[in-house]
Amino acid sequence: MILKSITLSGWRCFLDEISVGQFSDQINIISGPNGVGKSTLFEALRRGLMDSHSVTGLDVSAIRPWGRVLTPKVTICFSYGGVHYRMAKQFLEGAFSRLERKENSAFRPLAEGRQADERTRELLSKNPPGRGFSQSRNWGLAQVLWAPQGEMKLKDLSGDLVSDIRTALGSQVFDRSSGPIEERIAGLYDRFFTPQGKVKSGKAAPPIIHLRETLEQALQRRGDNLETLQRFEEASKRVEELRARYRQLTLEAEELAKSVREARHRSDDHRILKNQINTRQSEVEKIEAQHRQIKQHIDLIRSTEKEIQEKKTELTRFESEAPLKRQEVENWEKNAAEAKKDLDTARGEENKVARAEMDADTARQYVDSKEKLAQLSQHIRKIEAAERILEGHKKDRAALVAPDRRTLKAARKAIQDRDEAQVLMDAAMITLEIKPEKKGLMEVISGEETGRVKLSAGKTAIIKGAPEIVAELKGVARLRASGPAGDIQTHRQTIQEKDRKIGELTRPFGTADINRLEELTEKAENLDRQVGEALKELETLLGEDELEELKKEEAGLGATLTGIEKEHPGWRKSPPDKEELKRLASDLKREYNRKVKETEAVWDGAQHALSAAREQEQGLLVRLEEVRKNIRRLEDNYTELTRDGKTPQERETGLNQILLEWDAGKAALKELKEKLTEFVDNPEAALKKLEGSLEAIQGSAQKTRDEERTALGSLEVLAAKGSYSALAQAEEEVAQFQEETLREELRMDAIRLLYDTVNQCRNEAIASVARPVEEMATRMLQRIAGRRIGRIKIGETFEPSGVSPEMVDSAVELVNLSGGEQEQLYLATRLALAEALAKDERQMVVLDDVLTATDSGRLARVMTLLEEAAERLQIIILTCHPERYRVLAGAQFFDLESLLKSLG
Amino acid sequence: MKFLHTADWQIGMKADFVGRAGQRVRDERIAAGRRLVDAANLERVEFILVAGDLFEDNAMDRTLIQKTADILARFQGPVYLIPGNHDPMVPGCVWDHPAWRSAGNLAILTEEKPVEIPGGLLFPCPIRDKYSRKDPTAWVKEEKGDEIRLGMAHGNVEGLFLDQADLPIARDAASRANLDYLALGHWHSPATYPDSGSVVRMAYSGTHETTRFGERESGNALIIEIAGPGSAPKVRPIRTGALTWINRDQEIHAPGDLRKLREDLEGLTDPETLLLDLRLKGVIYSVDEDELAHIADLIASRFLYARMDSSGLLPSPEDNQWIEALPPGILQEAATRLRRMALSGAQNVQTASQALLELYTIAGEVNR
Repeated sequence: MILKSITLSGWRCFLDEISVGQFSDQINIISGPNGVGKSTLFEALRRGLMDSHSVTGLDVSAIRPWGRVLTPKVTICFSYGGVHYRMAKQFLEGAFSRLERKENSAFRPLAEGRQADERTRELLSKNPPGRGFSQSRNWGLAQVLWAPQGEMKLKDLSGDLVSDIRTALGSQVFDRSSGPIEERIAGLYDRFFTPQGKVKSGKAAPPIIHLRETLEQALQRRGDNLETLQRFEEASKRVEELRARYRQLTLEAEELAKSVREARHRSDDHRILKNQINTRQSEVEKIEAQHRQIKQHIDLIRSTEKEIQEKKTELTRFESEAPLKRQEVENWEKNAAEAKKDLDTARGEENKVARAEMDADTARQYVDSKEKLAQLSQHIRKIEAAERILEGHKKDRAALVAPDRRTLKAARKAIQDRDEAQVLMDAAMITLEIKPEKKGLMEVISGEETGRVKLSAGKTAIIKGAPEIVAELKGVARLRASGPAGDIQTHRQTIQEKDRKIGELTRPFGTADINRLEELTEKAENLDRQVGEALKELETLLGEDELEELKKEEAGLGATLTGIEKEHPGWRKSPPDKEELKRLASDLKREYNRKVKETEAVWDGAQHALSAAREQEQGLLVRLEEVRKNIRRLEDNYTELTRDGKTPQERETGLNQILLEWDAGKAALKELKEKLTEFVDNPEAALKKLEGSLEAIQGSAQKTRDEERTALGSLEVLAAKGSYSALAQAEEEVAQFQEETLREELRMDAIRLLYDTVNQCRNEAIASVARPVEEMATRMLQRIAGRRIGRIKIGETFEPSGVSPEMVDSAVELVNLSGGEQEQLYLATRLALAEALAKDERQMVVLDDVLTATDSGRLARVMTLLEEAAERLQIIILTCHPERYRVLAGAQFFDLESLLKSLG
Repeated sequence: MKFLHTADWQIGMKADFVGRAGQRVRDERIAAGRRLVDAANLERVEFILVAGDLFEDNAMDRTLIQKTADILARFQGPVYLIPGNHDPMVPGCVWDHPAWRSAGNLAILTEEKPVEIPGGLLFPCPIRDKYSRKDPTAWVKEEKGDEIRLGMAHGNVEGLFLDQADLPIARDAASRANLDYLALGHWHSPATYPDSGSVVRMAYSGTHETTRFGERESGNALIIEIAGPGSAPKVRPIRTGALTWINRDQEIHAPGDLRKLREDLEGLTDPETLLLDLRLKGVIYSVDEDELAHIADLIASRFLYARMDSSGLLPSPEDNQWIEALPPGILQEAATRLRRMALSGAQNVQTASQALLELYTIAGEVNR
């Protein structure tokens, strides 16, 4: 592409329209000082050719001139492939894009809007990304050909650019006729694979994807059907097992039933035998009972006879004992009465004893009460004295009117304040001292005290006053004395106030003398202290008692003593000896107790003997009566027992017969019991156990049968599914899909192998083409910088990766070069690539303020290279140092500053 | 007595080795059953013996059971069947289907008990297990009688294959049990077992319709005629199968061999009943690439089923012509490398051959 001209307006520093061009096909220098807009021009060129007209964002808003609301616009005329184009683009408000092509010497619209943007980009890059033009890696070939300010370094070349370069280089080397075949191969590959070599997916997926999915589904169906078939077979096995088990259980049940029948027979036999034994046992017991009964009857008759006899003997004995017992009772009754009499006599002494004791107690009470009364009276007296003292002190205190400490303090302060005020006032007062030599009369007209003052010879008269003293000595003089104006009034007021206060405070006490007041206060305090002490003394004496109660107690004791003296009048004069009285009472009591105890013992003995005799007599009578009753009863029994009229012999005979029957029964029972011992176990228990086992087995069999039915139901459901048929179909499908998949995979592998092989061959060919670029760049660099740096290493992506100096075996990284050398290296690489790309189409190279670090010596060599390159390239240099490039032959210069000035 | 002996119908069997033709193969087995019954009616046999494996599996689609029962019910006499190892007498088996009870002439013999048949006695040996080491004919006791004694069993005659210990049947089972004829099932190809007197008293009828590639002489039933007790049975096969399974290994050595093969294949009659398994081996020349594609089209379209394995075909080492015709440079180099790979015998030989074929095809299309 060759740039012809560029026109822009409303673009950063370019408010008005500015047009730069017509550019030469070779070297063009656009110069101007910093900030004139060189880089802006370059930006406008890039945006105009590559950006979408409808782009938004802060980035594009920033191209608007500061502080103005203008719409940036750019128009670029360029040629490509021998055709002239004009691209007009406006950004932001009213954005549009229009691409025109020169046809018959006139520009005709070719595309508008988005289409215009895309068509333009396609001219410059084979695979324009459509966005992201702020990044140089999205510029296509321009990424190599255009070096913005400060971005000389070649880096991050886009994959598409590298591919384009390779294509561009490769197309010069390889046979064009292979293109269609390679395209077909690429097209075939593209049908199946993504550029990254993965199998395509989504809408563009090749048939293998669908085949695999179908195969997967078929495998799934096969799995499901296989599972169903397995379940069917398991269900069948289960039913078979259950049937076998049922048969087994049925056989076992039959065996067991036979055993049960046999056990039942044995059990029946056992039971019959036991019944026979029980029956026989009952008979034997019955006979035994009869025998026992008869024997008992006979024994009873005999014993009754015997007993009657015994009882009669006893009766005789008792009848002879009864009178003797009566006599004994009478004797003891007499004894008891005598003993009682003695006891009563002894007890009669009790009152005497009681009286003696009472006297002793009364004496004690009398003596104690008298002592207590004396003590109590003394105590009461003390208390009364203390009360009197207290009253006295209180009275004295009440009589004394004295200020308390607080009042005293206040009075003292008031007096002090007053005195101070007085002193101040006096100090403020004018004092006139007149010491007359003879007597006279003075009229004080103005002063502290006005009026007449008699003057005596030799006696000083003092007149005070403020603010002046005016006095008149009649016929002699008028005296006026004035002094400094002090605040007399304030002091006077203070004095008055204090006096008033002093008066208030001291009036109750009758004196304003502070000393006197202090005395009063001390005295009052002393009296208070005395009152306190008297009170404390009183409280100590009273304790918890009240005086009134003490007095009541005193009165009580007095009354008690009076009462006792009434009973014992002699005691008033001679108080009793309470100890002596006590001892006498004690002796009396002791004697009394002894006598009573003695007589009581005798009496108790007599009572006991009497009771015993009575009991015995009573007992004897009772037994007598009992014996008589027993004899009557026995006789009745005997009559009853012998009612049958049999003789004793006849009874004996009957008894022997029963005995014989009994023996026979016992023998038969023994025989039956021996038969029972032949049963070694318990047939009933054995039968029950067997019946239980049979029931359990039958239950298991039934359960098994039920399980079999359930399992059969499940089996039938599974059988109805025809799972084998479904499985067969599924397996056939799987086999079919697997075959198809394998076939398709083979084809795809073959296509991938073909594609990869062709690419490999191409890359190898291209690698051989990239070498000339490396050599050309190296030559250029060596012409600029000498051989020292060595050979430039250009990688697969055409970016310089290092240098190989001749003296060094390994490659050196570019960071080890100086800034200037790096600049020169990248310039050489860009120019070499540009020349390689320009073989078919002249290309535009733009260098914005590059080679700033290159010294003048090397710069001169760079100029030579640029001149040579200009034969194949259009070179546009933006610089603020146009003088550097003046040496370039055929270079066209555009002074931006002058241009702007010319626009006015 | 005259009867028909058949076995191993394997109704419902899967045929995954023939892909989508599987269903057709299954349908043909049912059709062959009809032909067999028609043949039996035509031959006026007195009864049919089906010696096991009437069905491929007990978990068969139930409609197939009904269909098969209906086919057999069309026979004008009794049909005696025993379960085989594919359809053994187990719970849920095909024999539980009510179809067997509703058809009056079908007798499923599930017990080891002799059964009276027209003109004789039949000793059935039903199979109750998929696998068994027991001789199913062991229960048949040698008894002298004045009627024709037939046996029906399913298993492996001893000596058939050494490693087949399943369902063994003694080699002399027929003579040991004094049977006039023992109808066997299990093996799909027919086989006869003459006794010590060279009289055939034991035979496999084989399957009534061929089941796979390589199956010898299958697709038949046997008509047996026995004049009386102790007489030598007359054994005659009748054709019942309709499908033809062709297994073909073809060597390709020279240009034109593929064309001949194609012509051969085109000449095959009744292709709709043909199943073809074709394996090619040898060298392929560039001139024959089209022919190979033609054969591929032919077999894909004409036959009931066909598959071709051409992985054994390698590009001819002497055939450079088409490669030299490619544009020089990348393509020629790529083609040369691919051919080298295809001839190298390495793992990806087939892929390389296919890749070469693709390149050849594209080049041919572009040049056209």
